[in-house]
Amino acid sequence: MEINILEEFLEVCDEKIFRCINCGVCSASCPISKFMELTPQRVIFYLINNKEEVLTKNTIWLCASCLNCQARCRKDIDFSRIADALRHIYLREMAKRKLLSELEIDKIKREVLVNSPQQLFIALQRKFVYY
Amino acid sequence: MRYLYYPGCTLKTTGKVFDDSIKELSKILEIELVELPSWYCCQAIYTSLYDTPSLLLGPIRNLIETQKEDNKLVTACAACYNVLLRAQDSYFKDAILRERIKAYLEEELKNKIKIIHFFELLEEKIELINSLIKKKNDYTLAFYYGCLLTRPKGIALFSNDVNPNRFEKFFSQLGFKVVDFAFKTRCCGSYLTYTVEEAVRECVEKIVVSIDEKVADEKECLILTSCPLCQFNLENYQNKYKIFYFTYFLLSLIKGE
Ligand code: SF4
Ligand code: SF4
Repeated sequence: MEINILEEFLEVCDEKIFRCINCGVCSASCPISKFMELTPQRVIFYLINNKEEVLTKNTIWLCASCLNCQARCRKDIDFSRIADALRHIYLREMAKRKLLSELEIDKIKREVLVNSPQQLFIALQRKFVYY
Repeated sequence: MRYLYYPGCTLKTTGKVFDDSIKELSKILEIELVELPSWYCCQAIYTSLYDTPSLLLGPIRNLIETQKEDNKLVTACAACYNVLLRAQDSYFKDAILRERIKAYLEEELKNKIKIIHFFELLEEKIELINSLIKKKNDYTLAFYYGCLLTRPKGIALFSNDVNPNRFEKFFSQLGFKVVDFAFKTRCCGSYLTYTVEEAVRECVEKIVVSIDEKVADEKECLILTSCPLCQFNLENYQNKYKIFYFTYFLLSLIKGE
């Protein structure tokens, strides 16, 4: 993708990633980490080392913003905000290149879509649509 | 006492039982709830990007509306509650963000609004509630807090307790058996229900297993919640336990149903 991911990140998010001591407590407390290609702690590690691959790993789409990690991180880092920022960087980059893949509503089960609470549906849009 | 009340979108649609039961309960308990005039969506989740203050306009606008009449706002949806709190927190902590939002809205939020969860009002009325309950049933109650009432630390209602137990206290004072289970503040999987169902299935299963460990007779146990998302995910991905909004449950006790 060739973007300077660290620079882009620092422009949109003030989460103090350089404080991270890479202890891995976030990854250990994350209820979703089992499904992630990179655990939260490794995403931060990649980010600090300016590795743009973080954008193509599923982690940024999987973080449910449950803040379990935030409550436990002794360096007061909120990973959900990092994931949010990376997601937006990705979506904006794709939009710039006119590659924006639309959220595939058709793939979502109909009964889930129809019965789910409004709050949840708007959250979904907030996560997958770019600003 | 009179309070401004912020229902939020979900309580007007899929979560209507929640809204109805809150209104009926507050009538019975003589809590005057007045809907915030011209309220609208809280924007569902808290997101803040440095260059996009518009992501926080929704919740801040609602708080500005509130300020025109009062300095407190009652809400019950766990998501609205969380978003309003976090948005307000960022607004007052971050001067640059504040200036940008102000410039955009041409109005400002002058002082912090006290954002109250409806449960806090019920806590004050516990004696009245106790005297109104006609028939006690033998259910064991498992209160599922979820994420939004308990985090982020230092901000949310129960975030300063390692092991929140105000709901358990409340219901045991009403004479119920309550269970304290390890996963009561773990995530239900949230919006991943649309995209990665397995993850939600696993989250819900872990919550259920953690209740199992504490309950002798599962037929006699109910899960209570204050969050429409938790309600949805726990209703859809398990069928061992029934799950209700806590206000709905209280109301049916008072009505003797
Ligand atoms: S818990 Fe905090 S300090 Fe530890 S690895 Fe995660 S973000 Fe870094
Ligand atoms: S906020 Fe995201 S990364 Fe942190 S524990 Fe929750 S799902 Fe995992």
